[in-house]
Amino acid sequence: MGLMGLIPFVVAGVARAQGTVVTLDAGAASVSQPAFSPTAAGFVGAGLRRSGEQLSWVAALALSAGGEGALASVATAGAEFVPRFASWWRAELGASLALFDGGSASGTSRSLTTRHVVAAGPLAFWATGALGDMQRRVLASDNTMVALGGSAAMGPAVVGVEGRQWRTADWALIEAAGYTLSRAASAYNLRDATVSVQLRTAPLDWFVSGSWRRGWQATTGSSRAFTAGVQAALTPQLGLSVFGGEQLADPVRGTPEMRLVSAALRWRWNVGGAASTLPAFAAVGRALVERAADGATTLTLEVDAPPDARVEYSASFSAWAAIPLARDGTRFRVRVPLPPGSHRVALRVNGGGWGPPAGMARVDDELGGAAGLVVVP
Amino acid sequence: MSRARRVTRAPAHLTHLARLAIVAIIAGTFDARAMLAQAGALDALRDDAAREVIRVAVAKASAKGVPTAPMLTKLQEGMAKQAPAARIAEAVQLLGARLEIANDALAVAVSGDEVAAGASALQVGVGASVLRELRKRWPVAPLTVPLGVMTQLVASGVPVARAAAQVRSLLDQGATPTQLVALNGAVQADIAAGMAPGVAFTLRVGAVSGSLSTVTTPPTGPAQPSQPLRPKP
Repeated sequence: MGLMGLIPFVVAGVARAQGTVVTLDAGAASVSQPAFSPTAAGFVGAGLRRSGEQLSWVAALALSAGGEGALASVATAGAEFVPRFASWWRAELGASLALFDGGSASGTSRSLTTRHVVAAGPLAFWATGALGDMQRRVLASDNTMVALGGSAAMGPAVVGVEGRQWRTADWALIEAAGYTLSRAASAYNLRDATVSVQLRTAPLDWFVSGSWRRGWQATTGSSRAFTAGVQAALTPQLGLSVFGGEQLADPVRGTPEMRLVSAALRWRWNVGGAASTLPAFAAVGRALVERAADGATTLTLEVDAPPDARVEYSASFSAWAAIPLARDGTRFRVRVPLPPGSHRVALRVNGGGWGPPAGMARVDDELGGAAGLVVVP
Repeated sequence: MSRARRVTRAPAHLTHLARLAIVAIIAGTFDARAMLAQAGALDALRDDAAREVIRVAVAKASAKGVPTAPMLTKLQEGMAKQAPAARIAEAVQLLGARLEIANDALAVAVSGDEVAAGASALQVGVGASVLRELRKRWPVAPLTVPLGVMTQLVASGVPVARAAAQVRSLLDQGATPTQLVALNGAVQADIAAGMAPGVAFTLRVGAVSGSLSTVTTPPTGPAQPSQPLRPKP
């Protein structure tokens, strides 16, 4: 069971890439569960992600092998939709199938998860719902989880908070974590709170988190887990991640409470050759044209996009060269002087399609897209 | 004893010619730069057929005295946006055709910008007859801004006939380019706030019109829109 809990660290992160990205992972870990002696394990994984302008999909497979012949495998597939008309909203749908064979703990686990993320400048809010189905020998259980969370980007740091509520009948998983029922009940109920901090100090990404869990209604018990990790970009294609800490039991995916220390190498191949690791979409920015008393006219373009996005504008007055917008406070912004005449302007994010900013008349570019039109006297 | 310096001054008409020569040289330099840039951009287009279509279109426009800079800009735009070569060639051809119509309708055009503004107006559906009428009424005044504002209004959803008639009427009343641009800015802001384009235009035109004194009699009858130039199916 513990090996399966290791795998999410392999398959996680095959996300947010532009074009087609293939990843290969290999690593080793030391895993210990309550009432079990620590065991060493090795794991390998492969992932594939294809990102379109609005729709992206991901598939990943990971295998893990540990002492005493324990084996686990997890296959995941997911899709992510960022509509062109509302790029501040992202909808995700994911499914996973896990098979594990560890003597008395052989079985399967299936889960379906959906998440909706709303981004507003440096802030993001999300709601998650998950259903899980666990088959372990004669035990079968249906499990659910709902979560609400939010994050705030502050310079290179992102601070996140999430609250989760679980309902599960997987007594083996929950009682192994020290929870009991104070009276007869059809399910165990748990509530979590997690605080995480991610810090980007290229070429290193740091991550720490703390989670607190308590039983509620008929469920009694509590636990907490602290984790820390770092990812280093050794080359543009090769990364090293080191992770250590505790993990609370995940009833939806059937992974137990455990401690682990792991190290893994990830090789990443960007098939399309694009360097960005972010979803691409046409920007929904704003344009503001201001005319000073002396007649000088300036154009201000503003775009709400994640802090690590690559936002560019292109215009007839710059020979249509793509020019990046700099991050200014909570959004991307650029201010350019406009000479007299008729000008066309377009915006894009992370290499996505070019689109006209709001506040400008939209004209067909006859090239398959559109641009904003502004006239300066 | 100081010797008086002899100052020679060229006759006025020679000075004027020299200035014209300098202007011609500078203009020639810019034209050469444009041609070089165009050649560079054309060379970068990896499609022989598309390159030939563009070369012919530009040569044809140039031979008729039509400004070709907008066609170069369209080529650059297409390449920057990584559009298919055939589509870029088609877009440059269409623009060349519109520039030619605008150039004829606005003859004698005040500037290349004016012709480009006329071509943009044609693209959104303003008729060549509107361009001809504007030029007839204002033979020497630059029409770049009135045409640009008309284009923006039509592109934002204001009916062609109303946009053309009202802009012409405001010009009759003595509206300045700055006032026209401000009118358009206000209409765009209203539309962005959710107002219907026609309603926003009516309200804002009324406000501008009220602040102007009538200089000449407003023209009678609305402008006749024509179909924009579109790729042939």
